[in-house]
Amino acid sequence: MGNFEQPTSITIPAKPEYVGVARLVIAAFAGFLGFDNETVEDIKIAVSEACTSAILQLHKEGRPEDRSVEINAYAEDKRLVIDIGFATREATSIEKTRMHLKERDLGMSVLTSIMDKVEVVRTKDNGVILRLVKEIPG
Amino acid sequence: MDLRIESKEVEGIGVIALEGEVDVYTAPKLKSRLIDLVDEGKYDIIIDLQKVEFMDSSGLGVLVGGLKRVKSHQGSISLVVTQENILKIFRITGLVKVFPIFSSEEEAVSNIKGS
Repeated sequence: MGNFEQPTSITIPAKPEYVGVARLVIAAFAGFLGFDNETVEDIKIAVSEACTSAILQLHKEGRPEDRSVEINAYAEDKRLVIDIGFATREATSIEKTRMHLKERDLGMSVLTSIMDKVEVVRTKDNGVILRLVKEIPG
Repeated sequence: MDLRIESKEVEGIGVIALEGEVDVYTAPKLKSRLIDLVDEGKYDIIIDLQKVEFMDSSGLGVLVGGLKRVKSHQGSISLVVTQENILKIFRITGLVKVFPIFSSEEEAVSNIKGS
């Protein structure tokens, strides 16, 4: 098995019908890293929750049809890291993202139960990344 | 993957059987079917999730919304779930305490009829 340190990426339009595509791609990647089937199913749910949050936030900001969500998955220090990133139009979006995650409390409780770490990170170009981290077994 | 929804009536109870995936894309379809059932006067509803392969909080949100709707008519929503991966998401969110969960449609029907 390779080390998979380089990111595997997929960019999806900010549309609900594409969330299923993202979770399948990332689930396949997690399978290559050695996660068992049950954990791969959990990771699918986590990716779905995070992509849904991103898409709903972009819809709230308006003109979602020309927006996109970029998902990068990679292995780092024996952990799977999944970055769900999207460009925002407002400098305060990181706070809005945190608030939005709290509002979706069912989704957030699922995310935090399944993943070892969930954080919101601002990128230098005013984007936001929802970072999901899971320890790789073995 | 899409979500298929089949509806039927068993002893006056509305039964919805789902097949496929319930997420942000497909959940609105389930929401609208639940609203239709309540509008038709079905306040005790069984939702069979045995053929659901994937469900996230978008699906859970619709179920909770449906429950609020039927409760305003003194109704109920019972679930049929047998797959561990689907049961797990109900456990994580504490919804196992909110929805009665059964392992067959017959069990759910007799529980409603007995109550």
